Amino acid sequence: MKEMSDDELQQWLDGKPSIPGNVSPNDDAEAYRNLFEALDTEPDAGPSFNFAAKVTRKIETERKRNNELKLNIIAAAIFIAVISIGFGLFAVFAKVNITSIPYKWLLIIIPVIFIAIQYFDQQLIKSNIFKRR
Amino acid sequence: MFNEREVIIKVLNGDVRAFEALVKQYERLVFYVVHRLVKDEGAVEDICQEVFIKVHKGLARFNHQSKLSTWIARIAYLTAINYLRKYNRTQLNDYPDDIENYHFTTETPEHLLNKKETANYVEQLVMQLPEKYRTVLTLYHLNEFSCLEIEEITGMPEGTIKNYLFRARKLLKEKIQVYLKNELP
Repeated sequence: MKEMSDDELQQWLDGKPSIPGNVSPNDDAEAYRNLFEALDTEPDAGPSFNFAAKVTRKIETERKRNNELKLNIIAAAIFIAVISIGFGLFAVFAKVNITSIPYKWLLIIIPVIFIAIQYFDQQLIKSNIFKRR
Repeated sequence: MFNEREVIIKVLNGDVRAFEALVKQYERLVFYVVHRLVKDEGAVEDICQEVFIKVHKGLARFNHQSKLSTWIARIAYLTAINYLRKYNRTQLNDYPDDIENYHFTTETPEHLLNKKETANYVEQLVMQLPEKYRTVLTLYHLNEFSCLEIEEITGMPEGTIKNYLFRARKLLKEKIQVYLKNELP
């Protein structure tokens, strides 16, 4: 029987129909057969038994955190709006020039800083997922 | 029976249990891809989790043009590659182009005679191959993707994939021949 080349042997073991179904039992064929069996064998290592539960828990936590962030943004926006309206009404009714009111920018900057801290805190938590070794 | 379309619809409607079923269905696929690429055991499960979080976020964009398994495998492959680029640059660049002259450095076959496990020996050899060869072998043999699907997952041309498969298997065959000769009485 004609000996098969490496290419033909690999195709034969891959189950390609173009290759004849019989092969001479030589060293190469035996080694390839063993190799293919080994390559198709699932390794001992695998994900932990509660992996799926861990993932869903993480997704739930992230969703919760996103909701909290949204709430914080909404709260901050309402706060800024209320302060602005308050200042506006105060300026109109007390007939005060709005530019002369002290510390007015602080009331807007504080909620913005608060949102920024929340945002960067989230980014830090996300990047730590990869940094953990 | 796992119904892909039904599960996707449920997940998109916020069903957490459906997503858990999806994770269970594909966790081994993702694990094998990441495990074969990233040698850092401690990081593998974290990366797998990251993959499924990406799957969850991106599921609304999945357009059913490919199999869900192919789409998930692509996310797993790209996430693992990104990790290697970010934290383990050497794993990606340290390999010679001519794999025929590749030198394996782990246990010699003699040391493995006690184990009598060809699969374990091959696993150790595979883990020493360059990243692209490991990927192709894993996707083809363990995850049972076709060359066309591997092209879709990795972006490598089909010819290159076939070439990597052939060369890696030929090299491993030569190693296994020596191993079997030593093992058999």
